[in-house]
Amino acid sequence: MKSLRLSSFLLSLILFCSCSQSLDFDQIESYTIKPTIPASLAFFKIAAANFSAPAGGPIVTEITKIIDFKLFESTFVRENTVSLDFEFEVDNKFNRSFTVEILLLDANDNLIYEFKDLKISANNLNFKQKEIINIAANQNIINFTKAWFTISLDDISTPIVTSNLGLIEFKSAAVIYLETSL
Amino acid sequence: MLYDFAGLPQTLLLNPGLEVNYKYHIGLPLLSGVSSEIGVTSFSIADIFAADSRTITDKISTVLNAVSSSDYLKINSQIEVFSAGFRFDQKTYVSFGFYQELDAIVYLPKDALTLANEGNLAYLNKAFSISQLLYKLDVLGVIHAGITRKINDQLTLGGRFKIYSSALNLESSDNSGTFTTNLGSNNIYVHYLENISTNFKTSGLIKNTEYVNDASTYLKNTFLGGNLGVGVDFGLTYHISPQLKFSGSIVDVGFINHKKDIKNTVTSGSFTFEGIEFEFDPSNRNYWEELETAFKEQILTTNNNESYVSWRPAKLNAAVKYSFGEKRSKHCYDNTFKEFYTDAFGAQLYTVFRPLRQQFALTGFYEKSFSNKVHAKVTYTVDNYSYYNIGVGISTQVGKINFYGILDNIAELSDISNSNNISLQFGFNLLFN
Repeated sequence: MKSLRLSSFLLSLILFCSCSQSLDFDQIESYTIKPTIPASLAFFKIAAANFSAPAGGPIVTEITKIIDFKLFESTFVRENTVSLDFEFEVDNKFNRSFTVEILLLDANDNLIYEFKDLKISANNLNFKQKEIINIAANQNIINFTKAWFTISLDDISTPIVTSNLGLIEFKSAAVIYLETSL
Repeated sequence: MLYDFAGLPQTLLLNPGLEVNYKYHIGLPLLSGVSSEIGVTSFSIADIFAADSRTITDKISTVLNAVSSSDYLKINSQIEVFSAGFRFDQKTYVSFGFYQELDAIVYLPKDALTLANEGNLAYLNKAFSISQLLYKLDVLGVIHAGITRKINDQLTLGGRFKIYSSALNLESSDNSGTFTTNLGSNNIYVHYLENISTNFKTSGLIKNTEYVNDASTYLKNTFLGGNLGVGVDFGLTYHISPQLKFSGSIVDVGFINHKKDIKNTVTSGSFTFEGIEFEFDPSNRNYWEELETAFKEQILTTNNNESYVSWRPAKLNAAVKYSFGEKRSKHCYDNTFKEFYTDAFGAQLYTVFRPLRQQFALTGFYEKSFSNKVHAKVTYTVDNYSYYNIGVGISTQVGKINFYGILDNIAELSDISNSNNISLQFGFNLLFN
């Protein structure tokens, strides 16, 4: 019995002597994960000839296209995006200036957001524009599912003919800033 | 720590070829062998949760920077539900029992953690590896029976047969592939998922499409109700001289054949995404739908219920022990008295086969018998967690009741939160000479 008491005492002594520095597990609640994800969006190449008038038809001064783009299809992205940096780059190998207008629409084609127009001068091979959207100030933006692109020639008085050479290359991306707590 | 300590019945689970000198033993149900170990390489609880002036963001960032993909978190817990043994004849001891075990190892996927924590904007051109996703978790019961036979005065051999019953297995290994974002030529960025191949296996987690969330089901399945497997242990003790002996064992050489309540998710393929390229034409092409379809076709994800084999983590033990000091004698099963030395020192090597690579622990020990009934052991271990792990163990017997307790890493007890690894073992047995 004496040996059992001794063993119990020694083990208890060791266990009771164990301790830990002060820990604060609640601080995990203030920890926020902030991943920043770059994502390519839409891009296109369009020849100047696209603005040439069909035989006997009216002069073409602008062309448009609506495409689906469900950037916020994921619930996680919808709920945790705090900011979006939209980046646009245009390579204009065309001796005419033009404007690109981009609208974001919801599923019912309602306007959600209108970007500042991209004004591209003739032969500008390095056009860049960035637009930062704060989600808190533009909460409706997470409902966009479509993008409306319009390219308009700035000089509508001079028609383009099919022999006009030139190519417009358009690139776009978004940097998605996410924030979520554990 | 427990290996070859004080002739305890539980040491036979680590080496069935160790020598025992009692007539029979019965473990106290649920209390004969309780062990728990938790360890993580590269950081401690205090590194993250210390109540100091640094922000949690800084602390986690420091930890994540220090982590490598070979670091891991390991949890192991065992409870002996029942154990007993008896002497079959002068040279043969038979032991058997049933224990439940939880064993989990998760390697820390540094790339995935970085991607989740910071994203990849700051890591353009970096290939985030998917092969770092590597884990294995088992909840199982083990029914075992072993035999220890003294061949001659020098040599004792032992073997143990085990039937495993897995209640839960989650594992993923041999994954491959990378995720990379580069600056593009057609668009601003280009994203690559290259040579993706992943396989996430589960058994016992999902039954008839429903998650099993009842703990009693898991417990029940540990006793022959789950997926079954078999394994063996082998061990020996060899006396090089009356004072010097070598012992070694290989434990848990076995597998479990998972064929019930299986759900595996397999993904493979490659995909490159530059964005949506569209034309100003009158068509009503749904580019987004085309993108989703192309992704699903090129990165194929399927679920299946195919059976699979999961190998148990085999362990190797080897030890050299030199006994010295005062000679005493103890009463043995055959009513004779066996002489033993009061002191011993030696070295032990332990290795376990884990998914990524073997893990090693090298231990030097000193063992002291204060009397026939009271034994103590002090160890110094170098392993993956630290280079200064000091452990203590005590075994004592009052009448027929034996109690043992073992605690590792006592040097860190003054601040347990700073420790990378803590383990504790204790148990009660009835020993009959």
